[in-house]
Amino acid sequence: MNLGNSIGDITLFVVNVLILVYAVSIAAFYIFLALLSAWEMRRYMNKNYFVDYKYILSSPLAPGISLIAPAYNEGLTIIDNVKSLMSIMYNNFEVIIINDGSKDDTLQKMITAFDLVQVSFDLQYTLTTKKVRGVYKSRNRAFRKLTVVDKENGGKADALNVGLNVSRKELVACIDVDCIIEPDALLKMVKPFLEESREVIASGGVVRIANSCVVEEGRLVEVRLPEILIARFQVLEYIRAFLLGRMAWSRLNGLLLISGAFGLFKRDIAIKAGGYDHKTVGEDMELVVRMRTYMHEQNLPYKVSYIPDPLCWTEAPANYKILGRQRNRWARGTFETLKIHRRVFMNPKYGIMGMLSYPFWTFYEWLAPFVESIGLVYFLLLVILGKVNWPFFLALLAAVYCFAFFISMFALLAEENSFFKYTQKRDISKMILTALIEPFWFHPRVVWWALKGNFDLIKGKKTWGEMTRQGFVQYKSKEKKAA
Amino acid sequence: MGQTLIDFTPETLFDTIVFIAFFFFCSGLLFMFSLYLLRIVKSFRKKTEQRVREQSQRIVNTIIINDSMSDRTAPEAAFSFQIQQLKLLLGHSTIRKNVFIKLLLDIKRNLSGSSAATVQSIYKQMQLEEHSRKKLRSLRWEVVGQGIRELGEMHCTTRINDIRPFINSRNELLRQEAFMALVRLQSGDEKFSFLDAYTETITSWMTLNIHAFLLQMDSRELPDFSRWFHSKNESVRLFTLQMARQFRSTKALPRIAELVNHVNENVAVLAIETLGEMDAYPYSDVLLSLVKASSIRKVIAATKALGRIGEPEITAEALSPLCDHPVYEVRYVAAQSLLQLGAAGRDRIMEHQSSVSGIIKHLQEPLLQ
Repeated sequence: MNLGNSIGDITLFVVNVLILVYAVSIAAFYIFLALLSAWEMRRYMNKNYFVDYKYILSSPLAPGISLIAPAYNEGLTIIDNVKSLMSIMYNNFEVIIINDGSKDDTLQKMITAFDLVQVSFDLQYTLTTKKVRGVYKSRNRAFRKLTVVDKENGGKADALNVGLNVSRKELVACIDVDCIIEPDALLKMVKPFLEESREVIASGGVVRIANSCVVEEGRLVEVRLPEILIARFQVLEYIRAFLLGRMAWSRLNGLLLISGAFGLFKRDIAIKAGGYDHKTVGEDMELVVRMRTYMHEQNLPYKVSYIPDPLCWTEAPANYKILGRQRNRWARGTFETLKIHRRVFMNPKYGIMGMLSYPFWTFYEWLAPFVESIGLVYFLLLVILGKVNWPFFLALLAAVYCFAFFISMFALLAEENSFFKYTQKRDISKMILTALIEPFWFHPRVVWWALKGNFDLIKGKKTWGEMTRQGFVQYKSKEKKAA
Repeated sequence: MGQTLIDFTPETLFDTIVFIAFFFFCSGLLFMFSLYLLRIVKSFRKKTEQRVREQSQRIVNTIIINDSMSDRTAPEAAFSFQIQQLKLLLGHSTIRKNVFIKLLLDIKRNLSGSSAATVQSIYKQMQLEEHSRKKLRSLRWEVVGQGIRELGEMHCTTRINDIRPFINSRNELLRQEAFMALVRLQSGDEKFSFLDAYTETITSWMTLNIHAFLLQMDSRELPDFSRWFHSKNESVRLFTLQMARQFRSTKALPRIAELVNHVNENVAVLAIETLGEMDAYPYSDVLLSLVKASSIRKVIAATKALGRIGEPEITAEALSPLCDHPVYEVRYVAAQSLLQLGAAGRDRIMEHQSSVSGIIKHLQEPLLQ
């Protein structure tokens, strides 16, 4: 019995120590990233204090950009979305809309609205994709920068690969057609490609939540904090992730993820790396990792850059069911990418990516939900066994909660100090309240969805899951009604 | 005891965790209050800035309008009076001075000629030059950068020697600012003289900015860029070649032609492209030999350039085999160039119809032009 007790105690001791080490290391890492982000953000703001982006707009030396936007059953909003993309501020650009075998009238609407006709485009399948049924151009000179490609349904990654095949520009911006892009987004995104002495292979921008914002004609005219709590949780989450996380990873040149909603890539490198992988649901992260591994394997110096300016606005899922599907997909995408590129893990050949970013993603992004769940089960077990030191437990709980509050406040301060988008007087109080509720109301759900995503992946789930949106149009009509 | 580690936890560990909780709680609270405070400070600063901008802009506008009047109805005394008004408005406040300088820079960006010179003279009359020069001594690089930018934009030629040390600064941004300021401040052949000893990289961003600045200049004042075509610094070679191309510096053509076989592929490709862009017909022979080069980039650049400047018969014969090239881009530009060459090219392309038929259809599609 004594021996059994000893083994049990040793096991509990080891588990305790492991969980403690994990918690301390993750907290330390987050603090490090937060501080580095704050420093880098300040540097960015100072560096761009005087920048006149109009120089890029008028310069013949600015690189050409193809905006690639896949569309699937977007008939309701496609015309507004395309017009919004066409009005972006940049000189040398083209818009390529890929109709990914929509079952609705997406293509027909575009043909009618933009006076499109099929052309003899000599398409090369440099990246293997589903069959392209036709390439369309407008007879109206006002839309000469628009190209519409109709193809068989093959998913987002496949559609983006078609866009890469069709594009003839140096850079490609892969975007979600239903996102709202700031008019000067390309000018800001292209700057890192121009100013770095190392080759920049990709650049990403901050994605913000547009729920409750006022949108007219595909343009964001007023930024507002979402009215519903679920969207506000996501606002806080996005601010934390984009302003505190990615900024620091960019500084370390260890950024692994550029949001699929809006990213700018060097076309030739994306193609040489093999384009988007249509077998994964996390194609955005997978492409960045693949482009990076390609550069390392070719021994080419490079950088993946990141812009903290809010350049892209997206509508966040407005109910837990849809949000659950999105997070489920993200979890699957993360694991698939980590699995595909497992050779990078702790491999010094891949530099910071191999030795820092990849292990971070493995241990603190992918593994965290498991550790949290195991910790919870373990705690319940200790409660049942009556082996909990309650004062110690409460102190630990308070430390974890206060840490979450601290990080959220830090992120909000970074936002307030930099881009200051939520200007209403009550916005700060609302966000503080959101930060106070989030750890015990929203976070457990995120953990659950991540776990479910991983289990679904084991079960072989490969689908994206239906993502219904409320759309921005209603805000526009709401505003008009109010007027 | 038969209990877990939690019961064995030393007091110190417990105290440490309580301390950590307390620390994060206090820090979180501090940030929370900072959020509110920052909002108040920001609102106040924004209002102040707006007020200063509005008030000073009115006076600056008056000065510019008076100065631009052809009959010069506004006497010198009026100018001095307005300057005095501005001085009273700004007082000794550094914040106000910085807001005003930013305003002047914003105004100047949209002006040229005598109006831009008026803005510069306001800056100098307000003795802001000294304010900007003091910034060069700051320990904060961003302040130094601002100082350099202000002196450069406001054409303070007497400050060249203050700026020059930053040209090889370890800080990349200061280097960029110093580079651009020196281009603005130095005149004639001296404008780019610092390139002789420039060891750092000239980024595309710098090139783009300088190009935008040079566009506003009289092209006769531009230096002979070919002077740096053989610089040891690759980025200097590329920059000057790019400038020669953008400003169609025809006197540099013989030296550009010498670069088409440069060991550095980037330089060689840019030289080839430049010959084509500048319609350098006498140098088409130089390019003919390059269509058989081992470097695909060189082949593509030479083929493209020959489409513009090549002698039809000879060029068509040289480009014709490229229609069967294994690389698609080469086949594409070969077909494109052959079509550009006219009848001679079209005859040749027909011989390779099978391998480039899709490309020909594409190239002849009016909506794809």
